[in-house]
Amino acid sequence: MSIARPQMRGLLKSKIKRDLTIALIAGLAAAACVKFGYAERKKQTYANFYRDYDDRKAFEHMNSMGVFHATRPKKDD
Amino acid sequence: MATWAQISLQDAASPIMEELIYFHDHTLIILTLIITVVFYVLASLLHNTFTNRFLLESQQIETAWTLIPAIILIFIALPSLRLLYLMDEINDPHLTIKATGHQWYWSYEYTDYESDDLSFDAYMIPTSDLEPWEPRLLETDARIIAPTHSPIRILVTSDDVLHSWTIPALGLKMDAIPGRLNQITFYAPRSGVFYGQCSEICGANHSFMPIVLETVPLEEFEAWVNSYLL
Repeated sequence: MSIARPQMRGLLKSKIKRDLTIALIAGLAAAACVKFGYAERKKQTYANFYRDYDDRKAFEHMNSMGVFHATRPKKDD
Repeated sequence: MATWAQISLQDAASPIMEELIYFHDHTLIILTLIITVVFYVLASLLHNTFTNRFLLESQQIETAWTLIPAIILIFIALPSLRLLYLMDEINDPHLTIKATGHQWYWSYEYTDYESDDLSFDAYMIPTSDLEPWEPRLLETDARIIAPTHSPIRILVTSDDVLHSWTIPALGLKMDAIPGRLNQITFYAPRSGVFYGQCSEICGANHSFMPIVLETVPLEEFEAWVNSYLL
């Protein structure tokens, strides 16, 4: 009975090749997570906000709470 | 305005600020890629038990780690330049407002209306005089009022030292330089109140000369203008 001859030389070089490949795949996976889990979701949130946005309705709602100074009666100096 | 402990960009209130946020996220994606690769390589170094006394130089790896960063920088530079030129587009403003920095307040003039009445100073409201709902160090006694859905031009200058007129939610920042008129334009698609602070050191009260911009629909803006002129 004999076993397969183990790798005798170039162990560091093959480790570096394997590690660089894994590093690149991990980096691309992390970047994809940030892109689709964060950046694209944020773009979609903005698109959803403005799709049915009614500025007049939003203004009336904020104005009823006294947010705007422009619509307050002007004080005479 | 920012909420407490907020370190991220404020929610966009203009299309340009939206584009700035998307560009920031694009750069963040590239940074995530680089940092993940670097951290994995660092971790593998710490767990390495192999040595090679003759692995001293390699033209291939030198070429690779020169070309790859250059390509990454191109992926960052092209969207950056696109956005830079987008921000500088001429867009035929409907209204011009002049903002002048002083030590330590801002003054605003609406000279489109051929009247000297539509000009005012904006001083920070001291903390002791604030209403309970007003934000500290941000509220002023007078606000710039601007109409929504209209391109607006702000001409920024200074009466004394350098200041900088800033509203982060609209992606606006422009230096106020004595003897120089700087132009910045914006478009507000929605009504709201937006805060900013002087962004160039200008003396003892540099932190206490904020900016407040209020965007309202055109009808309300015209009513406000008429209240000043009539």
